[in-house]
Amino acid sequence: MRVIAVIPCYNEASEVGRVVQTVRSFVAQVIVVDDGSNDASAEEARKAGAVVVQHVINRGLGASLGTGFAAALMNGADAVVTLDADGQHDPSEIPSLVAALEAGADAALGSRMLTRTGMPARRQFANTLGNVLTFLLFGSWVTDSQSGYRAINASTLAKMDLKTNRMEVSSEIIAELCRVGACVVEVPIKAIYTEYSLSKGQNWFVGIKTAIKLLLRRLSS
Amino acid sequence: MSFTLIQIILIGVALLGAFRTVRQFRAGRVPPAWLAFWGACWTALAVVAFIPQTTDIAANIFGVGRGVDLAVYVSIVLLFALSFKLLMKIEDLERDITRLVRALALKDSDKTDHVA
Repeated sequence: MRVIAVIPCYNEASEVGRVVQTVRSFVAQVIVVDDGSNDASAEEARKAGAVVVQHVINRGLGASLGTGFAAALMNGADAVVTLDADGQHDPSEIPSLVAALEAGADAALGSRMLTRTGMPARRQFANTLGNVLTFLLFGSWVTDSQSGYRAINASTLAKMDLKTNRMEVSSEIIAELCRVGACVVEVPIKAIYTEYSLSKGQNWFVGIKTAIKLLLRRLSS
Repeated sequence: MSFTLIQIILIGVALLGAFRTVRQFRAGRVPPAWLAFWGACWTALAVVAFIPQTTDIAANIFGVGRGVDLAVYVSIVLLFALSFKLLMKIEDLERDITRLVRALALKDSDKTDHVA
């Protein structure tokens, strides 16, 4: 199985190179989608051995993932793994996500809520709200709807139609997996919370904006 | 027949709105359905400004106390509908921009290690 990692990246020059280097040993190719960064993220990712796809302007996480998925399919991926560029996901868990696909699942979603290792209580609460909203709007329940660590096989990915541009994409991916009738499993993952990754985290204002965008996505579908 | 200041302002706004809508329609920027919709809105505004009692008749039909209350309720509903339509339009534009940015990104992406 040719597994390609897609790493959306916005101003992560200090971390992305290290992340790419670690991820490379678990996958056939690493694609970094540089989302109009103002720093040297693209150069660092390229130096570390990633294929870099660059947005000329910042379009958000959803747009970056969409671009990464398109690039991965163009590059002959059988499965795509997504993870964050800030180092909060442990690349050594990629094999367990891929193993779930090899066992017959169409998508494996990494869930921090199944382990709750080191996850701040505030994050757990915000995640639960995200799960409830995803369930109410799209009818599918998962324990960590906002997780950025996931593996999806290529045939399922080709059927999905992602429309959102920003943080709301995490819930939209679950909605789309449900719409295309994919077999989805959840795999426990640990999240590595450093001062850096926490500083990159989302605030409540972004959360409310994300909820409104999800509502619009639901109404427009 | 004398008019109050608010009546003069409202009639002025209705005339200006109607003039702009017709001009936009002639320039091909507004479809016939929108011309009809806005035409009806400006006409209604002008009628209400000329004969304020018409709102009381409508208010009675809808079971609302005063005509001015009905005007406020209808305005709020219309504003909400307009805001929603604009939001959806902005979302569509955002998606179009992303499609363009993505097409550019994929065209110019690193060619190394691609599978033919």
